[in-house]
Amino acid sequence: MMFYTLVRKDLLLEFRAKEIIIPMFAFGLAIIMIFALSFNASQAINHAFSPGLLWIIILFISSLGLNRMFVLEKEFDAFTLTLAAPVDRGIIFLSKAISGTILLLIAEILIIPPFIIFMNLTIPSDWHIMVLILLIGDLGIMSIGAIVSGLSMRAKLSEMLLPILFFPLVSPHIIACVKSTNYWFKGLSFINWQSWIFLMISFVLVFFLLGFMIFEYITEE
Amino acid sequence: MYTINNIYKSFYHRAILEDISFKVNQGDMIALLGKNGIGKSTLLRILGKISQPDKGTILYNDANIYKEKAIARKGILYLGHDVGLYPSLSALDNLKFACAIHGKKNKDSSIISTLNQLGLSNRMNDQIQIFSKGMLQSLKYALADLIEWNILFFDEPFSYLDLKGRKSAQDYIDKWIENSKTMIFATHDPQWSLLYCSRLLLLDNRKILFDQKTNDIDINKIVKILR
Repeated sequence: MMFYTLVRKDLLLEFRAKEIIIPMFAFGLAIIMIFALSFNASQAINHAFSPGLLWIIILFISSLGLNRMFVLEKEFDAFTLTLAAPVDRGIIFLSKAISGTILLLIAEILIIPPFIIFMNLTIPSDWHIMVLILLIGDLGIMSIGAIVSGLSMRAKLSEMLLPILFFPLVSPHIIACVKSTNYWFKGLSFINWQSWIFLMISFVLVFFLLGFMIFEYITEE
Repeated sequence: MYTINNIYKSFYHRAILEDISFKVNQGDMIALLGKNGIGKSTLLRILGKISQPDKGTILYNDANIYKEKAIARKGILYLGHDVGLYPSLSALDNLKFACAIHGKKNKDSSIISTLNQLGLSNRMNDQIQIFSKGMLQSLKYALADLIEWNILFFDEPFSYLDLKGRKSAQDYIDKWIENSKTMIFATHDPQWSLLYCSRLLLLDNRKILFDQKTNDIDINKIVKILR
């Protein structure tokens, strides 16, 4: 119940402020345009590079979204309202990771169609597998991101600290996301690349558990 | 009901609080006085579990608030110096959320009625980022009225309030005194403290200089220390 209340508040904040999804979409679209116009490559080359490019875009926009999510908590010292309430800090972490995942998924729904169009891609018919890859990928990114954002939000120069900590920590997970997307894109049978999915799921579980356990300590002054 | 034992706190290797210990009993209304930067807000943030002390323990109904599960802190309400509400949400949404995370389900009508008492009901759907500082301060009283709490930590309760706002705030405080509520106020107003509070706690030079019942205190002595 408390978890639902916190997720609802995060989504309501975005619904009212519109400070996360629109900047994520605008930034993502700008990177797509840069990639599409600067490469000017054949469809075969675009196909080879697009899984990596897609996850780079997702990584950049997620870092932007995470920063905004926690800035909204810092304004008016609003986070103290949640911190002072009788709510387990682990639940606060879970709500942040899940609401972040929901917002990232919405941004991806807006970004992926122009990515397909501008990169001139043809999508395999079993697209539901890609939805699964995106979901697990986003859960991993946001679980790591919520820990790092929690750590950096009370620090000086938090805007700089977030990418410095976030990118190295999330890179193994992103590599697994790129590999999975690449194999799916090539049409290989799932059995041949399921280990990458399992690796992604492991990341999600480890960082969700870690965040749940340590968020208590990283949010205190 | 609240026992503070040997609290130490420093920021960037600079000691702010040293060996702070005192007990808060049911029905105590304590004024926390001290010069600017002496550590009043820091102490309240530690008591409200926003900030972690370097050393020491805080027991609320015999439960260590830094070790026990969050539910052990039910009944504690912290209202800081800053607004402590979400600027992009409306007054109504903020209060609904605040009540929900404190485990209190309020109907919209009761929230609107409280906002009405504070003269804010006509602005309840506005985002609070366009509110004046006084209106934001009044919102804190709405929050304290709607949530069921046993102990309140309130940092500078009269900041930014105009005469009408101050009157409403005082009415709420009088109501809480009548109901024998337990409260700690960080304030710069020794006269108000001596008039309304039952105990006065004065911080100076990182420690509690004195902790006395207000009817034993000479105001001139306080003013002299605070100057």
